[in-house]
Amino acid sequence: MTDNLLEVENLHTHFFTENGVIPSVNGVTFSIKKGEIIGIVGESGCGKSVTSLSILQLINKPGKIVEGEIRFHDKDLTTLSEKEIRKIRGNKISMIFQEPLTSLNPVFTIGHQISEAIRLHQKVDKKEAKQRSITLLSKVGMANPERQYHAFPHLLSGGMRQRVMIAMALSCNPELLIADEPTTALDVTIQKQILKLMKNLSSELNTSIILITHDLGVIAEMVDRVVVMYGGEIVEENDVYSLFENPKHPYTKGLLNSTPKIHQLKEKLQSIEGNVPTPDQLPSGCNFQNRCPFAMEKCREISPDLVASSDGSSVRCWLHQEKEVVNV
Amino acid sequence: MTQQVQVKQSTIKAPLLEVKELSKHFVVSTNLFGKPKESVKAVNEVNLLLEKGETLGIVGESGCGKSTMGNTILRLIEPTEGSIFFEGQDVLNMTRAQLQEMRKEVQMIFQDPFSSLNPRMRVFDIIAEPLRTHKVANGKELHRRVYELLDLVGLDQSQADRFPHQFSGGQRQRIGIARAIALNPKLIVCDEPVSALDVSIQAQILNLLLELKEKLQLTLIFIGHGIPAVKYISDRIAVMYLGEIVEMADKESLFSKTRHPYTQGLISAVPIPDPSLREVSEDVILEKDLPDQRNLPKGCSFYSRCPFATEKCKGEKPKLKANEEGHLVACHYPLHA
Ligand SMILES: Nc1ncnc2c1ncn2[C@@H]1O[C@H](COP(=O)(O)OP(=O)(O)OP(=O)(O)O)[C@@H](O)[C@H]1O
Ligand SMILES: Nc1ncnc2c1ncn2[C@@H]1O[C@H](COP(=O)(O)OP(=O)(O)O)[C@@H](O)[C@H]1O
Ligand code: SF4
Ligand code: SF4
Ligand SMILES: [Mg+2]
Ligand SMILES: [Mg+2]
Repeated sequence: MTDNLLEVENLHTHFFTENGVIPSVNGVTFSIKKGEIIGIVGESGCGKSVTSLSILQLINKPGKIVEGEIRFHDKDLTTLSEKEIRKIRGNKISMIFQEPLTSLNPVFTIGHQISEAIRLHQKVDKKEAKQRSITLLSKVGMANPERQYHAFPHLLSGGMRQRVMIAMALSCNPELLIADEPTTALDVTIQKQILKLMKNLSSELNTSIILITHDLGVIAEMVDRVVVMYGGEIVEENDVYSLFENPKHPYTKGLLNSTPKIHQLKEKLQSIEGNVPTPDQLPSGCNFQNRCPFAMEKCREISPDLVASSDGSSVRCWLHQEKEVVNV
Repeated sequence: MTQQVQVKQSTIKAPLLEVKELSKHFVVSTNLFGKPKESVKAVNEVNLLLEKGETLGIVGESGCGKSTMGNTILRLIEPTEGSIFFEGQDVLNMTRAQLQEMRKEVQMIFQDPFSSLNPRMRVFDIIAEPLRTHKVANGKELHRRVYELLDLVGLDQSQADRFPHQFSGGQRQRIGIARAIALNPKLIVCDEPVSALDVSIQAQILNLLLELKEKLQLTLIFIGHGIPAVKYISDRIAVMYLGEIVEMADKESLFSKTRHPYTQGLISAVPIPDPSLREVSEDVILEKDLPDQRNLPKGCSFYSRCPFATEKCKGEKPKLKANEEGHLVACHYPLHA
């Protein structure tokens, strides 16, 4: 037994398309404790969403989890039937996606949709469900919840729709909330409200959150621990303070150096040369070699493992595997 | 208002661009007789002076009128009211020939490099198109110029025969930039050129723009959602709210001596990529969403969200005024007064 709520171990998710196999996620391993907020960060196409969809068992054909375990309360979700997983999804584990409009049904009022979500997993009558929905709407900061209960999704702004999604996600008091780029489509002012809301809810209800984003600013403000992904793999993992203070993987460093900062004086931004690779273009050896300023002979041949060090960090880079032995 | 513009004008000797009382109102519904019933004031009485060689950043929430303003300046859409002068020439009253000439000097770079490039054209032809249309070069000279442009934006000559879909987002943005600088323009309006790009690629494009600006002595208007990126690239920044400029200043001054409550809220909402500042960063949270743009308040447009609003703000619209340092703000009770 561990005190982990969720453990993802050696997850491989591939898509078997007409043009060949796309290895989107390759050997991802991480875990999350009760009440913890972890962040998964990386640029587009690095496998963040495929990882979260894999956890929820929402990978559809031609995609498939080809290897790995996803243990929730020590139960492997990959072995459950669709019926069993439905009892967990949207109940003990809920999710919020980037574009709230596509996840809401345009022909029903938001109140109706939240009530239905409540009644799907809890034995309450319509009146009680409505009451709970209104309470949730006010909890997520909707002004006039009684009136908004009757509003249709398209009449709401992006920020309000995202609040509705959060209300729905919270309707069943989930133990784990997976939020995939929940604020990417929103203005910073609204993003701030939504993030604050999520953080308060997590501390109030002890909900664990996996927050997926490409924005290091959001990571820095929200999470306890960070998982950095590149090319379908985890390249670094650490607690948030150490990661920003002492990034180890050249990709993590590159990401930090290429992020413009408003609180710092003008310094030339460093960029990472080259392009973000797609999974079918990954080289043999280290995935980051084409863009890495430190690439060596060895990096072109053998791909490094994710190695944990005694300071609590894990890094996938030849520079750090050998050094660790000396440093420890 | 004119007085304020003059304050600034005295410091800007020969403006490249001058925008006076520019408005664009979109009619969103009409009555039975086809007369406008409701309209959105996307841009409302905006004044701007742009100095040669500077980069003016424009920030504000989605829908505040940034793109509409950019498009109006380029005459991609016709303004409802106001005037625009480019190098002293009245843009809205130009002859066709004059407008044609101006179109060479003022270019645009868009957010989505994919939809702004013709998918059926090879990169060579995409970049050559403006040179051909304006009959600037042909034959050998055209080839030389296109290859030179590819080089300037960091693309390889061997890529000239490919189609846009064979490039990544960042590379496509480079193609868009090569096309925009092909005619040696004086002014480029960049509408969110990096918003759709990954962080590491964003930095490449921002640095490319800075480099080209120096090399080619460009003047830029840089519209952006991402406030840190706008701060990085701009000399001066204008903050827009509901179609109006509510604050405009040199970037240092805008961030260190913020004067408008909206700007303060906007800046404090930007997440800082440094967890050690998590607890200390002061929160000025703008609680409410934007009001309905069809029914704007008659006083200060920020009234409904402003933590400092008074009765005066409700009834009387504050004018954009400069302090001694030329820092413009439209607020009855500016901060850092
Ligand atoms: N053709 C149009 N017809 C009606 N309304 C329009 C039209 N174009 C823009 N608007 C409205 O004008 C306002 C300003 O739009 P604009 O596109 O300039 O905003 P923006 O600041 O560029 O926003 P974003 O950050 O989302 O790009 C919005 O309310 C928008 O809905
Ligand atoms: N349904 C699918 N079919 C084929 N490839 C897919 C599918 N979904 C995702 N991929 C590929 O897997 C990779 C990882 O995608 P994703 O997890 O969505 O990235 P992100 O980190 O941006 O969320 C991408 O290259 C993407 O193209
Ligand atoms: S293993 Fe080599 S190429 Fe990969 S990140 Fe480390 S130094 Fe760079
Ligand atoms: S004029 Fe009044 S309402 Fe408007 S920003 Fe200033 S203090 Fe706020
Ligand atoms: Mg994604
Ligand atoms: Mg726009």
